[in-house]
Amino acid sequence: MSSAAHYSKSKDLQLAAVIGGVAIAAGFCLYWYVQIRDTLDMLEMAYG
Amino acid sequence: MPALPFPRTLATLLLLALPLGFALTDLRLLAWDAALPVFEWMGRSWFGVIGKTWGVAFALVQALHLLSMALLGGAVLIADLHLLGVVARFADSDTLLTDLHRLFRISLWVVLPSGFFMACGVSMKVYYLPVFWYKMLALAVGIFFVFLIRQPLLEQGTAAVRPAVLRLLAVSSLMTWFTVAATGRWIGFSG
Repeated sequence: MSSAAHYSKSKDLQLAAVIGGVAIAAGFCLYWYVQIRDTLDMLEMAYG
Repeated sequence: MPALPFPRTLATLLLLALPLGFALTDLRLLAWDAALPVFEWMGRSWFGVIGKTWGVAFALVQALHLLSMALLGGAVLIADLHLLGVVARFADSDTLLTDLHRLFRISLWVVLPSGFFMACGVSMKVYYLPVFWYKMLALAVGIFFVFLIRQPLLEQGTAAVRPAVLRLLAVSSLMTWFTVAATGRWIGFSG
């Protein structure tokens, strides 16, 4: 494999890692934000 | 050279688009309805009957599941904290990460069948628990991310990867497996 092809694969994987990583971080923040918000809402309803 | 210029990037975008389309349409509910016979079958299967009838069998398999999850979590934690420069800073990164990935693979081979056995024992409970489906989603994301992106990237050698990308890999991996562990305990906590 030429070095150009190797570089292209590395760039591809790094781009995929950035897209996947950002999507995971966004999903993580959204999921736990909703769970914590719902818990706080329930606590507020229960205890004022 | 591959036929497409960025096959992994395109595959990642497709893997992100598919569940998004699934979540934002009625397909999600249709699939949930269609999965009911599978969960009913799981409950009637040998695994389901054993898991529901003999508490000791369920407890032993759960112990195996939790220990292998601990091993998997340990491998993830050490690898990710190493990538963040927190632990084993003077170790040879590539050797350490290869060893930890082997440990991860072995523990995953125990986690998956033992988790299936446990799900059979409480199949109707988990079917109606939203958190179970979020755990399965996080687990699928974690497995895809490790085998399609993370490991192929790390196999090229950490020196060939930008440090910011390595840190993003570590943080997103920690977030994924934290969610798998937390939602797993949530299932256990739910009636």
